Amino acid sequence: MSAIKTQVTLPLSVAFRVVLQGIRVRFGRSVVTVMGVALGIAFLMSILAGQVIKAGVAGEQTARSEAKRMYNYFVSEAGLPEGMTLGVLQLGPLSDAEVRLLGNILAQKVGAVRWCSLGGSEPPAKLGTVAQRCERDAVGRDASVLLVLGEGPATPLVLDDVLQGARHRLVFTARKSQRLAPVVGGKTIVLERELRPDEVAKAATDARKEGFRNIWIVVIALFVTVIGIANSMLMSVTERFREIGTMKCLGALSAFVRQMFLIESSLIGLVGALAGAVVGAAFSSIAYAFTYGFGLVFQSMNPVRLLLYFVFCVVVGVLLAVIAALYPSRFASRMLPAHALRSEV
Amino acid sequence: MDMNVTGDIDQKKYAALFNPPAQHERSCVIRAVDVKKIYRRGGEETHALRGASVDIYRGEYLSIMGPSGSGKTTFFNMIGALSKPTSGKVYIDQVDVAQLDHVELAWLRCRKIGYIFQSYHLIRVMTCLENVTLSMSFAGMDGDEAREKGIYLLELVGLGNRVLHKPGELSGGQQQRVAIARALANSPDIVLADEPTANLDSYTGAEIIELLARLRDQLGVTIISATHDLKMLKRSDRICWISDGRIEKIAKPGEINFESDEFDKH
Repeated sequence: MSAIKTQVTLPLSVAFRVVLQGIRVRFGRSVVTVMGVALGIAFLMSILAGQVIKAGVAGEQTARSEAKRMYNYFVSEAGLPEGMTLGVLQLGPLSDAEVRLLGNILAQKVGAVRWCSLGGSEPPAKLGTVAQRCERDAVGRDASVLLVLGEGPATPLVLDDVLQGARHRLVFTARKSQRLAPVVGGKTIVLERELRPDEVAKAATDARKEGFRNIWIVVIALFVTVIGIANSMLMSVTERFREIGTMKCLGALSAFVRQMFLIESSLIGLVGALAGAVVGAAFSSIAYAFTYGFGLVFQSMNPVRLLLYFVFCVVVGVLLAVIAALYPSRFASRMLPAHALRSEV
Repeated sequence: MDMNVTGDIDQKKYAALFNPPAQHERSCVIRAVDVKKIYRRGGEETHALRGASVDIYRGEYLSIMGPSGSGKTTFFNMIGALSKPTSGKVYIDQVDVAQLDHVELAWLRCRKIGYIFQSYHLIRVMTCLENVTLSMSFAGMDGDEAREKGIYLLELVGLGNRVLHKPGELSGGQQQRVAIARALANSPDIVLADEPTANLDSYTGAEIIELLARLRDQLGVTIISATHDLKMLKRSDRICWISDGRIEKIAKPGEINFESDEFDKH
């Protein structure tokens, strides 16, 4: 007669083998569970990706309309740029708004562009052949308009010398932060608009409202995801109570049962979450692309934020799957085998 | 249908793979003392067992019978360490089951007892061989050794040619034979069978009964089965009669008139 001894604890690899075998054989059921997880995560990811896209599109639209407004202002002061000789004095790297403005101007048939880059700054690559590079003193020669771009020294910029041979003494800048000294017998115009205090306040209120609404939508999406994933994982565990009971009759430890479900649910969670995040992001992008146009959506999307949300979704998916599976498997592994065997699902 | 189940067990080969239990000592392998079980559900108490005591001896073939709802399966679960009594004691090999923690209980279920159920309870996703070797791996035996033993056991129950089939591809009788092979995986002292023939036709049932009897005769395994099957009752050493949560009588098959009205009532 042998005394009662302590049951051996099996290595993780045995649990892994049993799990892989289970997934392979129960492939159809596993796919359904994976789809349950994927659906939840796809929903969450589509909401998050939608926010990235909407934010990008809104930013792009604001930037475009601001560039359009600056261009209209420019035209109202200097006339249509067709045939015009344009002098450009670049003080530093160009802002997005400046590039857009320049793009709008150069889209017309400009006569000539004299371009002078100061302080080691480089003109934009797509300026092409229209522009002639020249020194500071040559930039204003025959120019109808002088455009000051980029940010230079803090002291007011004196341009009288540059405007020596200019046709008109008309100077534009796109930045209100760049101070220009008054031009003798001419005019300096700042294209950038000063926002009125009520506009600033409205923008802040809108941003706050939008922020609240976004958080609310994400919370609801998260909630739906939790319920969806918990439901499919609970089903896949509870329908195997009998199997757990059988394994316990054969001498499986509770820890082994829990280990098995931990491995299985994290695998299912990972695959489901990855698939769901890809599908969600793709669905959202395509849906918004039909509304706003493919170019606008894909140009304005912030890839870093999208990637962060992707990682977030995958982590959420795996965690939820594991938590949702651990609870019932813990419950089942602690059941007396007689009860587990009798349970009907 | 495989009919090679009546062949003799190769004692030498079995002994080489197992440590066969000591031959037919008249020692008590399971002792139940005044076992009571009360189920509580929704404030209502059900007395499934009202104090059942029995001594079961090593190498014995004991049948437990009784009408449905008599506490037969509850009693079966108690002596198989699958459930805990509300009061009373169950000793398996003179160890009080209530004193064991869950790790020791797992050891007990793994090595001491082999279980056979009415609805087979095979793991559907695994092959016959894997079903048999799974409990060996719970006992720490793995690889070729387990495989060889598993194949031998499946041959023993007449399923040598179904080793890599899944339970779903087998008939009920074949599945029950896989369950028997699995019950023997860790050469237990005791095999517990809960209505092993209830889901089978009488011919296949007879085969299973024969197989169990042969295991008892040739290997000295203690067999305890809950059953209604007349053939099984007649084949057993003693019959334990449960009615309304109590053991009404324990008798040898020869002492019972199976055709009587009193028997029919049950």
